[in-house]
Amino acid sequence: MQKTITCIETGADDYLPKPFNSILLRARILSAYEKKLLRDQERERVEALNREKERLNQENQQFEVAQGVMKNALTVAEAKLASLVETGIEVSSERDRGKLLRKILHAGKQLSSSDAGTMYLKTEQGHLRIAEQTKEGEPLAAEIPLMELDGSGNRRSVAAWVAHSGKTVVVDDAYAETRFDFSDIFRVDARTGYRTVSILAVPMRASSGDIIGVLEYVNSKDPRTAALRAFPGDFVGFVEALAAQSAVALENQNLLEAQKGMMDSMIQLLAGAIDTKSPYTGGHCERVPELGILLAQEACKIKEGPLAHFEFKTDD
Amino acid sequence: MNMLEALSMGADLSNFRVMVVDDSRTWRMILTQELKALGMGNITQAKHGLEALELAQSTPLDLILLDIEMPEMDGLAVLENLKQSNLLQSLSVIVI
Repeated sequence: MQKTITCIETGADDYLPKPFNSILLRARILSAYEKKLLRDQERERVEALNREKERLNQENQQFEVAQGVMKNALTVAEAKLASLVETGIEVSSERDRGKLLRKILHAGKQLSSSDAGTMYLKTEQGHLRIAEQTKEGEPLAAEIPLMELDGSGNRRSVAAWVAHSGKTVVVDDAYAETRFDFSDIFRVDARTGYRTVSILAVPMRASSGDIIGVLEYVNSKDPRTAALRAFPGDFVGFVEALAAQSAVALENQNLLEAQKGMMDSMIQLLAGAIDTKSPYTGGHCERVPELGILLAQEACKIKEGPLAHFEFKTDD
Repeated sequence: MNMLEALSMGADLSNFRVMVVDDSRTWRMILTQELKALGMGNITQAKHGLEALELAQSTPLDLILLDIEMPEMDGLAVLENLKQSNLLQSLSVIVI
C-alpha cells in the first residue's frame, strides 16, 4: 500500500489494483483521455500565445525602426530650424549687400542639402537677373524674361515661372518633367557632363507681397550617401522660410540705402542754400568737412602722446 | 446504454497513444484487449521497466498502464525515471 501512495506522490494519475473491474479500467482510461484533450488544448493555447507574442515582438521591432527614422528626421529638422534662426539673425545684421546675398544663397544650399544654388533678383524691367551663384566662374546668363512674347509664362526657366506665379516649384526628376521645357538645361548637361535631377525654386516675397527674386537649388544630396534624390518635402518649407526672411532683409536694406540717399541730398540742399545766402561764407560748408578730414588724418598718423590711440574710419 | 458507453461515445480513441507495461504476458494481453474494446488503435507493449523507458523516450505517448510489481526495475522506478525526464508533464500514468 505504501508503494502505491509513493507512486501517486511521484506523479502517477491513478491506481487500480489487480485484479480490476473492466468497467473501472475503462472509466479511468477515458478520464486519462480527457486529460490528454485538455493538455492538447492547453498546448495549442500556449502556442497561439507564443505566435501572438512573436507577432507583437516583430511589430514592436518595426515600430522601433520607424521611430528611429522619425527621430532622425526630427533631429535633422531641428538642426535646420536652428540654422534658419541663426541665418535670420546674421542676415538681418549684415550691411554689405554682396555679403548678404551670398549668406542667403549659401544658407539655402545647406538647408536643402543641394549641389548648387542660384539667386535671381528682379530687374527694374521686371526680368530676372542672376545676382549670386554658389558655383564660381559660371557664366552669368542674360536677363530672363518672365513671359514669352505671346504673353504666356516662360516655361523654359523654373525661376522665371516661380517669379511669375509666386509659387514654389519642386522638380523631382528634370528628365521626366512635363511641366517645363528644360532643353537649355539638357544642353548644358550634355556639354559639361553634369546631370540635373532635382530642382527646387522658391519665391522671395517682400512684405508688400511683390516677388523681388527667386532662390533656385539643384540636385539635393543625401548627406550620408551623397546619392542624388528629390528634395524632401520638409526641406521645401525651410527654404521657403529662408526666402521670405531674406526678401524682408533685402527690402530693409533697400529702404536703408534709400533713406541714407535722401539724408545726403537733404544736407547738400541745406548747405547749398546757406552758401548761396552769403557769398562771404560761401563754400564754408564744403571747406569745413574737408579741413576736418585733413585734421583727423593727421591725428591718425600720430602714434605718441594723447592722440596715440585716435583712429578715423570713413563711416564715421 | 450504460454510463460508460455514453461517456465514450463521442470519444475517438484511435489516435490515443497507450503503452502497456507488464512482465506477465497474460496481463499484457488482457489489458490490450480492454484497450482495443475502447477503440484504441495505437497500443505499444513493454515487457519490463527498461524497455518501457526506452520506448517512452523514443515514441510519443499519451497514457501508460504501468504494473507496479516487476522484477529488477519496478513500476515506481519507471515512474521516477519518467518524472526526471519531464515526461510526466505530457502523459498520464495509471498504476496497476
